[in-house]
Amino acid sequence: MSTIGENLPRAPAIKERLSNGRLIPYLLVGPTILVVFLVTIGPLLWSLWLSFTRWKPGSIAFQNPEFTGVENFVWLVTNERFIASVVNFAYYGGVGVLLQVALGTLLALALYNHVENRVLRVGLLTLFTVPMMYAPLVAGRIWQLLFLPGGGVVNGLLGTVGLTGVGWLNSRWLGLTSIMIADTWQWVGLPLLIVYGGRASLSESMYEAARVDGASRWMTFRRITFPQLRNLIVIAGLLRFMDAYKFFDKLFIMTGGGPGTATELPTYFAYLVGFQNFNIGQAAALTWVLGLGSVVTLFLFWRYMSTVQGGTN
Amino acid sequence: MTGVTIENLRKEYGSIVATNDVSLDIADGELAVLVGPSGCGKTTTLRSIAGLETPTDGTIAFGDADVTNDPPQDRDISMVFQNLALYPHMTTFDNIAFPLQAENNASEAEIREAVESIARDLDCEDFLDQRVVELSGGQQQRVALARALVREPEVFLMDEPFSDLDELLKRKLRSEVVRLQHEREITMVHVTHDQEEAITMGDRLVVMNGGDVVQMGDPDTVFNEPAELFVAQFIGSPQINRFDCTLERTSGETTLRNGDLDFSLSDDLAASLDGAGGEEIALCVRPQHFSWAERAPENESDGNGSDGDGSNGELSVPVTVEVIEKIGTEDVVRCRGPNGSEVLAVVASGTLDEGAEGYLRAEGANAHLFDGYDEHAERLN
Repeated sequence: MSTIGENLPRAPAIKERLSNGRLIPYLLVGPTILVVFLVTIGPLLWSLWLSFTRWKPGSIAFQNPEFTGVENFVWLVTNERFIASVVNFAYYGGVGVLLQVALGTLLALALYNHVENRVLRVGLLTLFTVPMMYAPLVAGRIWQLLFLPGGGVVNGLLGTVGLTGVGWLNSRWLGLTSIMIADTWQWVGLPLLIVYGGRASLSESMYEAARVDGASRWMTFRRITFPQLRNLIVIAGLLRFMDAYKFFDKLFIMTGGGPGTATELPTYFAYLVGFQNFNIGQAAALTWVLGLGSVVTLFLFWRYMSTVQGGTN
Repeated sequence: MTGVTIENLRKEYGSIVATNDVSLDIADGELAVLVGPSGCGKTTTLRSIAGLETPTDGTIAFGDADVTNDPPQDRDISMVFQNLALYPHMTTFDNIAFPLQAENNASEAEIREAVESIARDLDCEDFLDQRVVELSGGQQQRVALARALVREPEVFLMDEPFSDLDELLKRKLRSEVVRLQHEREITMVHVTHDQEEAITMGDRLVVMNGGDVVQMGDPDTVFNEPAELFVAQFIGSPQINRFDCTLERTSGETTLRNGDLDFSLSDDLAASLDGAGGEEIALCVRPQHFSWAERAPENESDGNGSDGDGSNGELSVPVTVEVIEKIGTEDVVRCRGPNGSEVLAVVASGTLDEGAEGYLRAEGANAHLFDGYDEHAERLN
C-alpha cells in the first residue's frame, strides 16, 4: 500500500451523498429528464437516423431500416412533386399570412377608431374571433360546400348578379387561394385581437398631440401607429406563419391536394409519403428538411426582434 | 398670430358641467393664464380652444374666424400637454420636426435648421439623436416645449407643463417661455393651478372657479383688488388673513366685530359698506401688509389689550408669535390671534422671535372687505 493516497479525501459513498443531500436534486429532476428524452429527444434522434435509411414497414423488401446514406435527400431535392409543393407553400404561406395580418390590422384599427358604439364594437370583435373556435376540419368542410362549383353558395351569389361561377377548388392557384380565403376567415381574428390590444395600449394624448401638430390620418398611421405596433404585427405574422408551416386540415378536406397533386403542400406530401406509402425513411428526410426550415425562420425572426429591441414603448 | 374670443362656452360630460358659462377675450400677442383649483374648468376651456373638445354650447373664434367646429389640425395651434404626449418611439429631433413635417411646406434643410435653432433656445441640442424615452423628465419637458414652439402657430396653448419639475428648472423654463413669447409676440394661453406661476408669467390672469370665470385682469389688479372672496384667498402666498366680522353701526361710527376684536373703519371704508347685503362682512388683509408693533396704537385705546383698534382706519390685531418660517430675506410668522385664530404676517428676516407678543397693524387702505362669508362674496371696497 502506498501512502500517497492516504491523505486524499475518498469519494463519499452513495449513502453519504444521499444523507448530505447532494444527490437529491438529481433524483428529483431525473424522471422528468427521462420522460422528455423518451418522448421528445429520443424519437427526434431516431427519426434523424431513419432519414438516412430505407424503411417500408409492410413491404417485403425493407422490413427493417437499412442505411442508404443521403439517398433520401437526393430523392427529395430532385422530386418535382416536392418542389411544386414548396412553391405552393411559398405562395400560401407568404401571401396568405400577409393577407391575414394586413386584414387583421386594418380591421383592428377600423374597429378601434371608427366604431364608437361600445356594444357594436365588442359585438364585431366577438364575431371576428368566433371562427377561431371552429374545428379546422369543420371550417374547411363549410367552405368546401360554399365553394362547390354547382349548387355552392358562392357561385350561386355570383349567378344572381349575372356572373358565371368558377371552379374554386379545381385548379392550382385558385384552389390554393380558396383555401387561403377559408383560412383567413377562420384566423383573421388572431392578428385582429393582438393589434387591437396593442392599439388600445397606446396613449390617447399622443394622438391628440398629433392632431394638434396637424398630422393627417395617413401620417398619423405611418409615423405613429404603425412604428409602435410593428413588433406586435410581426409576432402575429410569425404565429400565423408557424401555423401555415404545419397547415394540413383544410387542405385535406377541401382539395385533398388535388386536382391531381396541384395544391399539395410539403406537410401534406410528407403525410402521403409517410402514412399512405409507408416510406418512413423518405418521410423522415422530408420532415427534417421542413424542420430545419422552421428553425431558420425562427432564427431570422429572433434576429429581427433583437435589432428592434425596445422598439415599442 | 391672432386673438382668441370665447363666448358663453359651456361643456357638459353627461350630467357633469365642466365649464358653465365662460367668456373671455385674449388679445393678439398676449400671455393669458387660466388659473384655478382642480376641477375649475380651466383645462376644459384650453382643450376647447385646441379643438380637442366640442363645446356643448358657445363659440370660439380666432380673430374674426369662428373655429368652434374646426378639428385641431385645421386650427393652426400648438400645445404642450400636461403629460407631454411625446412620440416615445422617435428621437428628440423627430419629435420636434414632426409638426413641420406635418405642415409639409418646408424643405428638409429648412426643417433641420428650424429644429436646431429651437433646440438651441431650449437646451435640447445634446440629445437630438436620442430617443425621448431615454431622457430625464426635465429633458422631455424641454422637448415638448420645443415641439410646440418650432412652428409659428396662431395660438400657443400650455396645459400645466411645468407641474412635475423641480423648482429651479421650473423657474428657468418659465422665464425661457416668457422670453420667447415676448420676442415672437405669440398669443399664448397657459393653464396652471399654481397661482404663483400665474402671477409671474401672465400678462393677464383669468381666475376660474366652479366652471366660471370669476375675475380677469392683470396680476396686480387681481392681487390688489380681488373681485371675490375666493380670488382673495386663492391668489397670493402666504394665504390672505380673513376675519369673519359682523357689521355694527353706532352713532357715526362703523365697526366690524370679530369676536373680541373690533375694527373701527375709516370713513372711506365705512362708506363702501353701504352696498353690503347684510351684517356679515369678511375682512381680509394680506400677510405682506401687516407690520409689527410692540404696543397698540397710542390714541384712544380703551386700555383693554385684547381689543383690536384703529381710528384713522388703521387695523390692529394683538397676537403671539408661534412659528417662524424662513423664506430667504423674509420670515413668515404664524401668530395666534384673539379667539384662537391664526394670523400670518411677512416681516424682514430675524426681526421676531417665537413667543413674542405684540400687534400686527395694517393700513385701512390695505383691507379687503367682502359682502358675506361665502366664496362668491363680492368685494365691497
